[in-house]
Amino acid sequence: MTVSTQQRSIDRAPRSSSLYDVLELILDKGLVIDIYVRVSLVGIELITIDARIVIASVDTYLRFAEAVNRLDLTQSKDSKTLPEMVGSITEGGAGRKAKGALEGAAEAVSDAFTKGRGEEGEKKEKVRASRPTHTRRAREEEEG
Amino acid sequence: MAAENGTYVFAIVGANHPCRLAGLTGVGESGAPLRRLDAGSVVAIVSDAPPGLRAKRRDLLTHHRVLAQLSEQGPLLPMRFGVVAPNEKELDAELRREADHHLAMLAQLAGRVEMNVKLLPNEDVLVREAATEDAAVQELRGTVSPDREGQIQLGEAVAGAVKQRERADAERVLATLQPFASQTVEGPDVTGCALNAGFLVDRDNLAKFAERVTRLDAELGDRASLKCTGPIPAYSFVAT
Repeated sequence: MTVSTQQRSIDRAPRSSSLYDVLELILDKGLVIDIYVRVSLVGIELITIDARIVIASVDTYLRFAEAVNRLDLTQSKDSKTLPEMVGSITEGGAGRKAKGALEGAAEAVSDAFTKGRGEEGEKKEKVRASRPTHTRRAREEEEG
Repeated sequence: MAAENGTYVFAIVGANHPCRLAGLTGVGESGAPLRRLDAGSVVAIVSDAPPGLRAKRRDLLTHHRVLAQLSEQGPLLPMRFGVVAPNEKELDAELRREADHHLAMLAQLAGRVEMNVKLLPNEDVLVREAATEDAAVQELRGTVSPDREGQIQLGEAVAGAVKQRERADAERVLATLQPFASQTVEGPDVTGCALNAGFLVDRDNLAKFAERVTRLDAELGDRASLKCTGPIPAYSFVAT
């Protein structure tokens, strides 16, 4: 768990990982003076759509089924049993909780960020197919 | 200077907010200076809007940084990213029109901050649980045909059982943390999170809240973990 709270000094700039953690709030919450929202931000629409991809799909069901079929229920809880489910998990080390897969959309958001960084390109980023590649935590470490 | 691209609005505060703006700049490549726009009993923190404003990482970070710093100085209503008024005159008129509403919201937020809590389930564990505990999954697992249709049926049952468990954990988190907050809202869906909730917490209560989050994370064991971010500006508690 991460508690990036209390100790943060008042004037310190938020780290990029904490931006990622509140991204959906900055884009989706907060006060709007409705008659004044004049700028329709292409980037915003894309990112919020990405973040809301609903992944309950046939593909997901098939992956779940495969995962269950491969489960050897005699194995201990600690053993890795679902390599397909977790995709290319890059995190490791003792004490880390492995995160679930199916975070393609989160990665798409992250990608949009990376691509948007510093350049003026106006190309629309395509919404990625929702294939798990990185966990949320792994992605943060790359960015952090 | 007349702002040809409009006036970017960061936040609305009360007239007694200190508005210390040193070290802060606006969104956009050149980072226009921030200023206060006094409109009677309320003040807007604004800057000239840059041309071609988009939701770039740099600008989202700038927006958040300005709000985070100003909210440490006193209660504020954080604007959503990208709110641009046509000009200061119209913004001023709007602020005066809505002043009572804004002051009422500011009063609600005084002395309080938002804490964001995300519940990140461990699917490995929950799928295993579904396979060992869920009656429907267990039955299908033994009887369903190996063809595509059968597998979709099985997978759907597993997904349902996993979702049920995630929701139960989410309810547990809400029930556990709600007593430490004056308001609670569930935030936008975030992929990979079974719960994304905002808690409006008294500053005096922050230590207890954080302690309870830490303990709850331990109690959840390997089923899920909690990610707590804050204090952050009260994005989730400024309903329009």
